[in-house]
Amino acid sequence: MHSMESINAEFERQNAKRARYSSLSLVDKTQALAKLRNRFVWSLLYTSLGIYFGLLIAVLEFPGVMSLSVYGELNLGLLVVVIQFALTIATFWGYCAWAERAYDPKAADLLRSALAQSNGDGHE
Amino acid sequence: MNDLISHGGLRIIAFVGFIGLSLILTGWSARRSRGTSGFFVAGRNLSPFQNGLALAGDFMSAGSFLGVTGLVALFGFDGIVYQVGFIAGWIMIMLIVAEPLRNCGKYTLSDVVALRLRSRGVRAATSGSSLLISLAYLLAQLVGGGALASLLLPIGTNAAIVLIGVLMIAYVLFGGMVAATYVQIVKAVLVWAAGAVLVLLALAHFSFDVGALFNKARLSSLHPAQYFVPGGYFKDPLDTLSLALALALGTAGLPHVMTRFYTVPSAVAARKSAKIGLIVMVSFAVMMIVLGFSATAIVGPAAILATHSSGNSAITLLATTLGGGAGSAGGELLLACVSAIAFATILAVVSGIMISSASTISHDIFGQLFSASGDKERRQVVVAKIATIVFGMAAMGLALLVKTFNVAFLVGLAFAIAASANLPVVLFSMYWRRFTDRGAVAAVLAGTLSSIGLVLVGPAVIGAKGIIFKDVTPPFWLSNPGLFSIPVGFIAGWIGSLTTRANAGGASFDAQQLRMLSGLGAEAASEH
Repeated sequence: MHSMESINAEFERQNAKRARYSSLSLVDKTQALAKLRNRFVWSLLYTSLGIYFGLLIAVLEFPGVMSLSVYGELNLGLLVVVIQFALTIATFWGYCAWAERAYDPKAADLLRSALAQSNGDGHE
Repeated sequence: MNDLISHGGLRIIAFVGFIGLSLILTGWSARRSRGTSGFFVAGRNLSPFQNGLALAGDFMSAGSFLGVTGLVALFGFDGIVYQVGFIAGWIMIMLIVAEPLRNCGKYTLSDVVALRLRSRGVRAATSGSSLLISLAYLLAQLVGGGALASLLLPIGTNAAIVLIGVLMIAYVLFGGMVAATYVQIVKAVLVWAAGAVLVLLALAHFSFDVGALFNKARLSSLHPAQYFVPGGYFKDPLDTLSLALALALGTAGLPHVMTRFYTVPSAVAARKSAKIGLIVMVSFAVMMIVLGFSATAIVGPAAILATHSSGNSAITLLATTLGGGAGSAGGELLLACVSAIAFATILAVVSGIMISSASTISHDIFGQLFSASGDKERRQVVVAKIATIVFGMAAMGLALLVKTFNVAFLVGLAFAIAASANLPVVLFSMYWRRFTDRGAVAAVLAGTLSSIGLVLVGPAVIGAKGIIFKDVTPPFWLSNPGLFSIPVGFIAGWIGSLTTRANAGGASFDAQQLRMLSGLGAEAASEH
C-alpha cells in the first residue's frame, strides 16, 4: 500500500529532477493522462447535460408543440423522453468504449511507471 | 382458502416471508461483515453485477415504484419528469464521479475531499452536510414508507414506522453494508421482476397493442387533451427546471449512493457496476411509465383517486385488477406480492441510508474529529453500531412526530443540499488545483444554508400548500431551491478558494491526480 505521504514525497523528488532531466517524468505522465481524460469526459458531460437541459427547456417552453403527433399516440413530448433515455445509455456506452480502448491501457501504464519509480527503477 | 383471501392473509404471508428472508440474509451477512472494511463497505469484494443491482435498487425506491407510477397515472407526461431527471443524474456520476471516487476515497464522501484538504473544519463541514442529507432523505422515506405500509398492511402508520425503523436498525447493526446490500439486491430483483410481470399482463390486456393501451390511457384520463403534454402537474416551468437541476446534479452528491462505489475492488469494477445499474434503471423507468399509463387505462383515475389522493395506490390497484379483481385468488395473490415488494423497497432504501449515516458518524466525526489515537479502525465499528441505534431511533422518533405533515419536500431538500454543498466540494477537490480548505467550508456552508433557507421561506413550508402560515404568501416562490442554491454553492467555493493561499499539508494536486487516474494507493479489497 502506498500512502499519500509517500506519493507526495515521490512527486517532490520528481519535481526537483524535472528541471535537470528531459525524460518524461511521472508528473508529466500524470498530467498528460489527466488532460486526455478530462478533455473527453468533460466534453461528453457538457454535451449530454446540454442536450438534457435543452430538451427540458424546449418541453417547458413549448408545451403545445410537444402535443404534435409523430406516430399514432407517440407525440413529440414522449419522443423527447425516449431520446433522453437513449442518449443517457449512448453516452455511457460511448464513454465505456473509449475508456476500454484509449484510457485503461494508459492508466495501467501510469500505474506500472509509478510502481517502478517508487521501487527505485525509475532513477535516471 | 377464502378466509385467507378475504382477510388479506396472503399479504401477511408475503410480508412475513420477506421479513424472514431478509433476516436470514442478515444472519448470513453478519459472518461476512467482519472488520471495519467489511462492516462499512462489504470488504470492497462485491462484483460489478451485485453492486450494479444494489445501485439500481437505490433508484427503484418506493417513490419510483408507487409514487411516480401514481403521478404518471394521474398526470401523464409530468410524472415522467421525475424518472428522466433521476436517470439524467447518472450521466454525471458515470462520467466524472464514480471511478475517481473509488480510487480516492475510503468509506465516506468526506474521505475524497480530505485527501487534499485535511483541516478539521472541512471534515466537519462535509460530514455535517452528508448527515443532513441522510436525515432529510431518511425522514421522508420513513414517513412516506409508514403511510404506504399502513395502506398495504393491516397496521397503523405508527406501527408501520416503528416496524420499518426496527428492521432497518437490525439489518445494519448485525449485517453492516453486506446485509444492506444483499437486502437491496434481493429487492431490486423482486421489484424489477414484478414490474416486468405486470407490464406483460397489462400489454396482454390490450392484446400486446401498445398504441391501443396509450389511446385508452389518454381517453380515460382526467384531462385527455393534456395527458401526454407537459403542464398537468408542474405549473411553474422555472420550478420544474429547478427540480430537474437538483435531480440531475444532486444524485452525484448523495452519500448513500456514492458509498456504494467503495464496495467494489477497483475503479474499472465501479464503471462496470454503473453500466449494469444504468441498464436496470432505464428498463425499470420505462416499465413504471407503461404501468402508470396502464393503471389509468385499466383501473381509471377515479378509482385511483378514491383510494389515495396522490395516486400512490395506482400500481396495487392495477395488480389486483390484472389478477382478476378484488376478492379473487389471482387478484389477492398479485396484490400480496406487489405489497410485499413495495414494503421491501422501503426497507432496502432506508437500510442503505442508515449504513451511510453510521459510516459518517463513526468514521468522519468520531474517527477523524474526536478520536486522537489508538485502535481507531476497530473502535469505529463499535461506534458505528451505537450510531446506528441512536441515529435510527432519533430518525424513527422524528418520523413519528412529523408523520401528519406533508414531508415530501424533504426529498427535494436532500437533493438540493447534495447538489449545492456536496457536489461542488467533490468536483472542486478532484478537478481544481487551486481549491482550498476555506473554499470547501464556504461551498458547504453556502450551499447548505441557501438550500434550507430557501425551502423554509418557500411554498413547501409557508402558504396554502405548506405546513405553517397557511394564509400567507411565501416570500420565495419556488418549491425547489436548486436553481439558486447550486450556483451559490459553486460560487462560494470558488471565491473562498481564490481569496486564500494555495493549500499545504494534504496531498498535492498532482499526487491526488496520480491516485485518481492510476489507482496507486487506492484502498484494496480485503481478503476473503
